[in-house]
Amino acid sequence: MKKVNKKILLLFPIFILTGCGYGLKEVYPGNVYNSVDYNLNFYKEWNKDLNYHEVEMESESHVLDKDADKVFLSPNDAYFPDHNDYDYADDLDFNDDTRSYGQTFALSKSESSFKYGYLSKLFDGQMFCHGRYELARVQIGESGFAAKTSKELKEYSYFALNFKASLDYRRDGVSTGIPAHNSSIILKINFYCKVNSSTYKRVEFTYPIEHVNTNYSEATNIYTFFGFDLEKYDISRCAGYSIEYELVHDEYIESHGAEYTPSLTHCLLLYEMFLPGSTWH
Amino acid sequence: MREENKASNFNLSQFGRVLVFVVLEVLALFASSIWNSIYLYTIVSILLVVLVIAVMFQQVKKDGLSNIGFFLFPILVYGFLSAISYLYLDPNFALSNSWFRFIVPFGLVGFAAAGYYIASNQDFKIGHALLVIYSGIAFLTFLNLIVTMVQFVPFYTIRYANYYLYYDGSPSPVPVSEMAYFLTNFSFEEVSLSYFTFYPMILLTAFLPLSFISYSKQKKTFVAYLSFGILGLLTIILTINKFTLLYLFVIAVVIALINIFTKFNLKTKWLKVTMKIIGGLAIAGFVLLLLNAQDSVSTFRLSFLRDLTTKNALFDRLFNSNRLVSGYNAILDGTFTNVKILGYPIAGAYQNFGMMTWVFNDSSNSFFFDSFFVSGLFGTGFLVFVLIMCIRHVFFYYMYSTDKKEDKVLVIGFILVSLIYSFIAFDATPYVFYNSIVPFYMNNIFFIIIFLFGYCLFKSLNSNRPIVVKKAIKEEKEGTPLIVTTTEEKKEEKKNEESK
Repeated sequence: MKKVNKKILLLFPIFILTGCGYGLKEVYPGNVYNSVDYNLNFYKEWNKDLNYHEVEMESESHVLDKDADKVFLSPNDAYFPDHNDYDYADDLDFNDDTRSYGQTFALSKSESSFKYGYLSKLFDGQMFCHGRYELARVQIGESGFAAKTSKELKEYSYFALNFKASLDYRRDGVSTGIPAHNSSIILKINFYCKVNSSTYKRVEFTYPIEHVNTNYSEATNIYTFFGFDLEKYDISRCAGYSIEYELVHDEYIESHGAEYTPSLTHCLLLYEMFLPGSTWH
Repeated sequence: MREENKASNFNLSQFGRVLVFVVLEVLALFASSIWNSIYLYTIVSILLVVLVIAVMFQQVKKDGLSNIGFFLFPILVYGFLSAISYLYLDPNFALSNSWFRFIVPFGLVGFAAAGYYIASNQDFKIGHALLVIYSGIAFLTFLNLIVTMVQFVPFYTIRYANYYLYYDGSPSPVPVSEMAYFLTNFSFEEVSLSYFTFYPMILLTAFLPLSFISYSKQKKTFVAYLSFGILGLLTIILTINKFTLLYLFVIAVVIALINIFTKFNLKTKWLKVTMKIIGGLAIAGFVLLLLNAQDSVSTFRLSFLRDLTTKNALFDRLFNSNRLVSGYNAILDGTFTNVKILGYPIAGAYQNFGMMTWVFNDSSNSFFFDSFFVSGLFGTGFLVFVLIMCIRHVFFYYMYSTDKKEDKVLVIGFILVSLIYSFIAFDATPYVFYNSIVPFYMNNIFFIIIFLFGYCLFKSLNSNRPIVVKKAIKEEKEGTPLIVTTTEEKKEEKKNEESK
């Protein structure tokens, strides 16, 4: 009996080791960042290990060149590698015959861990929502966010991001009707490549975008489809990313900003992020 | 010459022990659900029955088809009614638009027949089979528990009652407290808590044989069953919420009743009285539920009954507004309206006229009520017939078979607890993040149940069971000497007559 008891007792450390709660690290009390109050919808989570503002890490910076880096700003741009092969507009059609770009290259299709977490909104293949599907967007301010990935990037070809911009589209829960206008930003994408198990090397890409359609609400269908070639850069073992931007100029804030108290806040509404053809391990 | 003799003496019946080994392996495979696939279950069952018939051919010839045919035919019809149900038009159904659904009935029949014929093999010991089955379920439960605890934390079902995961861009359809991880085809998937809890609930029945096993004499068996029971209980406690607590209470009562009846040998009289009370209440409850559920425009709508149940707080709680009953009501209401029973007598699924598509509403969390969707009204009828007939024989098996008592009790416990839990909490749409309909008849436990039915039927028919039980009891009461013909004796008599 004593031997048996000892064997049974051996099982208990297993249970002590459990209860790590990996799946509970990101849980929410229901639908979040979807308030009628615009200011409550900003996603600002910076993973501690990736916060280069506070943690020192090796880094390299690249200012993208339109031609050298094959930067595209719309699906009709000649540098967009797949613009002839896929239907860019038909992102919600799950019919296999249409070869929807969003559904084909959604990161959640190539790596299932992208299906988990709030940021799965950026990887589900839904590139648009003209105000009808508020669930499908991540609203960021200039400070942006940073997140880790479960696996490390192995192969990649190019990066793409579909987004639009807005000003307080709902102020205190009421639609403000701020007219559509232009703003210009400097977009900054960081990839965090693993050096060892706990340290990262930051690879920064910045690109100034002169004309970003800044809509009167989130319910318009004018998007910016930005992307660039990654093949000449080494971002292998990338296990994290951050997206932030600097607002250089906004026509409406400059002309009417003084009329608003508190002041108007600019945002980017991110819909989908792609690394087509990427493999993860 | 010797070679020729050897060839002529070749007889497959010599492979009885090998066959027993194969059967035990298959039971382990099914119970542990390592590869949880109806395709696998069906193909393996068909191959197994071919093997069993080949090896046990003498027994098959001796038995004929009358007894087993009476058992297998309703299962086959039930399987075919399920196969032709309109549910196959639902893209979420596991066998949607697949011709394989017509093969599944043969798998069910095959596994039931394998259970029947293997019972005649002298080398097959039900005690070994039960150990294998329980080991398989314990292995599955242990893995599921470990992964669930690594992903979540102990008592997450209480601590995270109102928290949701984000998955594929949206909050999970249920809070984390209502999901757990389950091994499905070599990967762990998020399933509903009620589906996850099915397996540890079955493990609780492993406590039953402990009353009949002496620790000093059968140390290993005792410890094995004790461990299975503790694992089941621990799993349920670590993932307890108010619903699993309710299910635990029901199953604990069932296990306690089985233990009381078997431990104190309360056989015929008390058993019959209890069965009649439970049966009577069940039938009355079902009729009331059926009539009360007719909320839509229906031939059977009884407005006054509906008024009666809604006005009384207790009846309203019992028949209209609780989580269990609302699912049953939706199905029973639709059975006589949406399905148009006379127009689609074999229809299993509801037609959503607005969408003009065939849809399976949320599972009612009951294999019995789901079967109206899954197999249609007649299919449900055949299923009920099979269950009543087989459970009757399971009790005959318990009372008259020569198997060890601890094994008989465990067989009864396994079958009753599986069926009762499935009646109150079986989730036919178990996966949280995708809607795949996997009805009860495609579940590994259903396959094991019909295997045990087959085994019990053979043992019951070949036991010393009195043929005319009522007459025997009457004679006993009147004080006349009890002369009872048993099934074995009747077979002997028949043989003698034939030889004359």
